[in-house]
Amino acid sequence: MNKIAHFIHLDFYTIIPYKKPLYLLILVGLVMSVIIESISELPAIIMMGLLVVMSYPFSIGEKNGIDTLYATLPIKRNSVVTGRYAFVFCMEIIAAIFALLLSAALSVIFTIDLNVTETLVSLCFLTAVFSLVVSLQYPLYFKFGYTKGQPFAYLFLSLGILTIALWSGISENLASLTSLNNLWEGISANPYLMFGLPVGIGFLFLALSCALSCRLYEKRDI
Amino acid sequence: MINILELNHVNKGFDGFSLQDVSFALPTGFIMGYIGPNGAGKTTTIKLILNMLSLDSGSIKVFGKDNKICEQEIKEKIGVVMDQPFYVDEWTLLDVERSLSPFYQKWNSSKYSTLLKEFHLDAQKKVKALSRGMKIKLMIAVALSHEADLLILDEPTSGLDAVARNELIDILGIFMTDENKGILFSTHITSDLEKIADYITFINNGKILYSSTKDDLLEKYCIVKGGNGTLNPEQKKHVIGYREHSVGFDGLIDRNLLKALPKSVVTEPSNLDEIVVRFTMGEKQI
Repeated sequence: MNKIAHFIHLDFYTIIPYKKPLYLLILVGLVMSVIIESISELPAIIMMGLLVVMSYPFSIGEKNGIDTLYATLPIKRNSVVTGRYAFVFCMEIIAAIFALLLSAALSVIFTIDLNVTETLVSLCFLTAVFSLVVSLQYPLYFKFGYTKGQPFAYLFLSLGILTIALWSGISENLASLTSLNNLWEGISANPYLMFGLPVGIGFLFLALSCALSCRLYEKRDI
Repeated sequence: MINILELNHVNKGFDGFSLQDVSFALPTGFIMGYIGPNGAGKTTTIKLILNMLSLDSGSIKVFGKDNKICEQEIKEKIGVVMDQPFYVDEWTLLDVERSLSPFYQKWNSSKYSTLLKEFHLDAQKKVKALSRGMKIKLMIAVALSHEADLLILDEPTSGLDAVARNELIDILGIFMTDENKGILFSTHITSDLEKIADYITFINNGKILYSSTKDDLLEKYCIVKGGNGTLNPEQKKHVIGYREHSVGFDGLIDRNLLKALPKSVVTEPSNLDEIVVRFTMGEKQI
């Protein structure tokens, strides 16, 4: 367990020098929210930025031969993979909390309306999309490395970003379907399910993907 | 004598290249030079020792333990220096410590600082701002800061000037003052090994041609020279890497076979470079 924590720490140090694009995206999100006087897009922009940043450990790593570094460290390959997924999960949680706090701050400073429940539900669904995209991308990176896995991973990334970008529209459509869909009504009536289901499904994606990546990375020649 | 590193009948195949039946042992307290031309299989062997590649067959023991089963325990005590550094370019040397130190139980922070000072490395500098020689020193500083007992060096001197190479040799000399340590030093610049290696393992085309003490190797072979037409075809077969030029011939020979040659030939002591070159030309088993 300690080794996984150390690996999360290592991943953090790997990407921290390359944080500028994330800051830029957050700034764009802030400016946009203020201009259009709506903060509903802000969480989506932050999660989109995080999606891009989450490929950094692989891209920066490949550029700097970091797989060799992992091979010299007293850490098992399984811990490398699990540590990377744990890092992503932590970042996802931090980004969601950050997006919520930033939205609240903006709503106070610029007196923009904030529907907390709607923002929370939106964030839960965004994290599910985020987890799904990461779950599809990471096994490719662990199997082929960043450069070789990139074409397929980009496809998933584009789909994810598109889904997140269109999130407002999708959520509205989902809302309009609620009257026709008993299941959706049941879910939306239960706040635990409403928030917990997408997060749980996202976590399940990550767990399954992690197990697959462990097997793939174990067999990979570095 | 306890072996700090031991490879037994190691095989690993790729498309167009394979390591075949690689066996050698490095006793504790000694430096082994792992030599051979580019593409001979030196880096592949090191990657197998570090579990970066999986074995097809054979076994590797480090500190007497299986390198796969006891991987974490072994790597606590191994320091690795590769030809290319593997730290993030944007890291400062302080970041290098912050990132790596949690992994090692025996990380010694004050030793790291001292080594950086000794090697004239500025802790605030980024990895990308370091020269090649400095990057090698940084990798050595990391290796020594976690109290490694075995150093594995893969072509650390290629691309270094003579001064930086000498500095590295001095650092390794100091490391070896502790008799419980060992170094596997892979290089194709054999002159570095003349000064410090106790053992030599010579690999070519994925096969070990020689593995024993450096002195035995240098004593066993000598350079032989003579005029044109001095040797008959049968005698030429004894000469490894036989080369004819306008005024005569030269080559490498096992001293035991000298008696088969005419007395008119001249002999000179050999060196590791000559041995590698001639064997690569001649492809003979030592």
